[in-house]
Amino acid sequence: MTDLPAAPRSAEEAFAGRRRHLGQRIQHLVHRHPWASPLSILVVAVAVFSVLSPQFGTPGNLSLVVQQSAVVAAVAAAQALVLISGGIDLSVGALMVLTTLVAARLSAEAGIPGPLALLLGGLLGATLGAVNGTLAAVFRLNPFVVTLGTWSVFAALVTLVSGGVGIDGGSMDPFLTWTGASIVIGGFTITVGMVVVAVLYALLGYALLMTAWGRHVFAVGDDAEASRLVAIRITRVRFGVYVVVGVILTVAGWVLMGRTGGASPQTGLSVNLDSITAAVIGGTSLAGGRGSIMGAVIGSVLVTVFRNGLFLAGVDVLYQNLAVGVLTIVAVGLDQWIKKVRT
Amino acid sequence: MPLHPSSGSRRLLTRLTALACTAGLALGLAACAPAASDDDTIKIALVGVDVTNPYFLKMSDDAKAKAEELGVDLTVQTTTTAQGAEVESQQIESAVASGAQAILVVPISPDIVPAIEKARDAGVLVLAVDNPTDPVDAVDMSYITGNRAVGTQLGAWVAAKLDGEKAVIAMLDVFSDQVFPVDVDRDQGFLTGMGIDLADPGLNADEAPDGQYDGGDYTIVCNQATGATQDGGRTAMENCLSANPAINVVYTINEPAAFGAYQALEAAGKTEGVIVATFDGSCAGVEAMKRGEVTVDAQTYPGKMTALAIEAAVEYIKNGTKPSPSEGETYFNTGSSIVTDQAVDGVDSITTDEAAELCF
Repeated sequence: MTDLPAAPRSAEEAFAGRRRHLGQRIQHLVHRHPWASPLSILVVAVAVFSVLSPQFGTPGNLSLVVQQSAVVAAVAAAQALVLISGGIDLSVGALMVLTTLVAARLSAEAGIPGPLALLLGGLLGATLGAVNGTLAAVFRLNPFVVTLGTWSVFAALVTLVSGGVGIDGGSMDPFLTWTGASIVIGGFTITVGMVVVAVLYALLGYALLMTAWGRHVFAVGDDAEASRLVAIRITRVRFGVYVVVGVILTVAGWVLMGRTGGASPQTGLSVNLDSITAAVIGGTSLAGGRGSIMGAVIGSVLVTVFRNGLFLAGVDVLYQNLAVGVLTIVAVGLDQWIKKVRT
Repeated sequence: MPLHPSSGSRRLLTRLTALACTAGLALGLAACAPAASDDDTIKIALVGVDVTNPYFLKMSDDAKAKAEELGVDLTVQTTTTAQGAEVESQQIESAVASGAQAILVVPISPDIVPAIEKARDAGVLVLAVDNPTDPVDAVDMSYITGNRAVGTQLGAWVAAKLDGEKAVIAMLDVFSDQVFPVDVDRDQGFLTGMGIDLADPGLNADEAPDGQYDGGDYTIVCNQATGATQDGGRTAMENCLSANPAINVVYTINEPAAFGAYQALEAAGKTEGVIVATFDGSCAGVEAMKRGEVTVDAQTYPGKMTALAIEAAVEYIKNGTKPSPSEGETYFNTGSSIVTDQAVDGVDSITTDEAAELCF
């Protein structure tokens, strides 16, 4: 019995089974998992710096690097969320500081218990986020310009609420600075703040990747018109994102209070640029529709690794700035290349 | 189903509403601005204070008090270190345009000198407070702490305190990528006081990493930027401790940086036998000294700077008397004291109790 010739493959099957060269394979991998490239850079960087200076790879130093990136990582998660939805939020620093100052004052002066004060701070954060959302999503003003404006408004409110003076951790409920508490496991110092940020990432990651809301956020950022045609309420989605950002920033502020041991109007106001850098390095596109929360934490740790590693290697400070700049440019360039996924 | 036929006109309406609101807000704010004062009231502007820092807050508060006492119309403009010379120059120009007869400025960088020159050409008296301009005579007079002299006293105290022990030093400055007069004067003054060779007295971080100080050997572990904030101080100290855990002398540019540095020391369990040296002498700093967190503090008097400057400005505007410097100096030295509860021979100091009377 002669073998029948194999049935001809359909065009679809032929296309799916085509051979891709290495460049296209990498392009596809990174398109599906935007955090893959920053993760590989991070692994290489940690290896290189550990070789350059023995103090870098010690558990103590590595714990410090993570502690130093914790606050920016939390803010970068919020920023990544907004970027994915097609917006941007430049008021993040001032919003974060304002909510923490209010929570701190409520606890220190009105004697409100810590968890409740933080909750009220979160409500304020949601309200301030709603202000951003109203301007950017409902009135459809340019989010870049509008959040630049709200940054100034919130920063002014910070000065108004604080009178320029910080509130010491000792005068408020210890719960508010609990994020600074730590335990040492095998030489690694783990702070409550790190755990909080990890939980935040898990929740946000789940919401973005496993829920309908998350799908809608990606869709709205990717192609607003197409989203509208499939009956996604784009205004609601965008507005909701800004409100969620406000709540996330209150959590970030809580982590900051643990680190500084109090609420200070001096620190954190200009974390906006760092959060955008971290999000972009982590694979989130400035154009919206593509990004990774996981990437945002990798991005913030990567920046701190570079600064810390270069310092310990005895390299002049100007090269730290250079390195972060090059990293950002490479990330944006990579972003453009990934967008070209065609074949 | 038609695709939102009115979306175009609705967008236009939204945009117009936003525009109208902004215009209304701007007009409302303009209307709320204080009415122009009559020609007899002297107008003075204070420019460049970062009121989130208690030091500058004191400067601003005492300036306002003195202005009220003398019946002067004072406007205060804030700048943060991050905003820089651009913003400060604009503030100087707008002060001149608003009719100020004298401007008190906290110079943020030498780049504001052109704006100062324009102001002086327009007949406005310009006085520097907190730190000098570069060159010093770009302004009519400066009311500053002699930062280099004070730094030297602080360094001399540390050298005497160490008494021959090896000094493993962490230098926590404001910037690592700019030359800022207060930063350089305090840092280089401190090292001079310790007897360490300076290489270039106009630059930080160029000293030999190992060598001899006035009592023995030294190692400078790091020169880190703190941005003069507490969080910056903490991160800087953490990095320095990673580089060399045996640090026993911490030089900090101001109290917020010192508080952050102490936090890092505490978290690393390394507070024993470490000298934390700083500047400011605020009441918070004096309390930190009593708790043992700061070892020695150079107390400065920011309130005096602006108060004296305003008095001098009023004298000049009313009577034409030019402001004069301290004897033998190009500036008016508003003074400083070394505060510590551990007095050493050869360096004058006051106790924390005495400092508590004078603090801000």
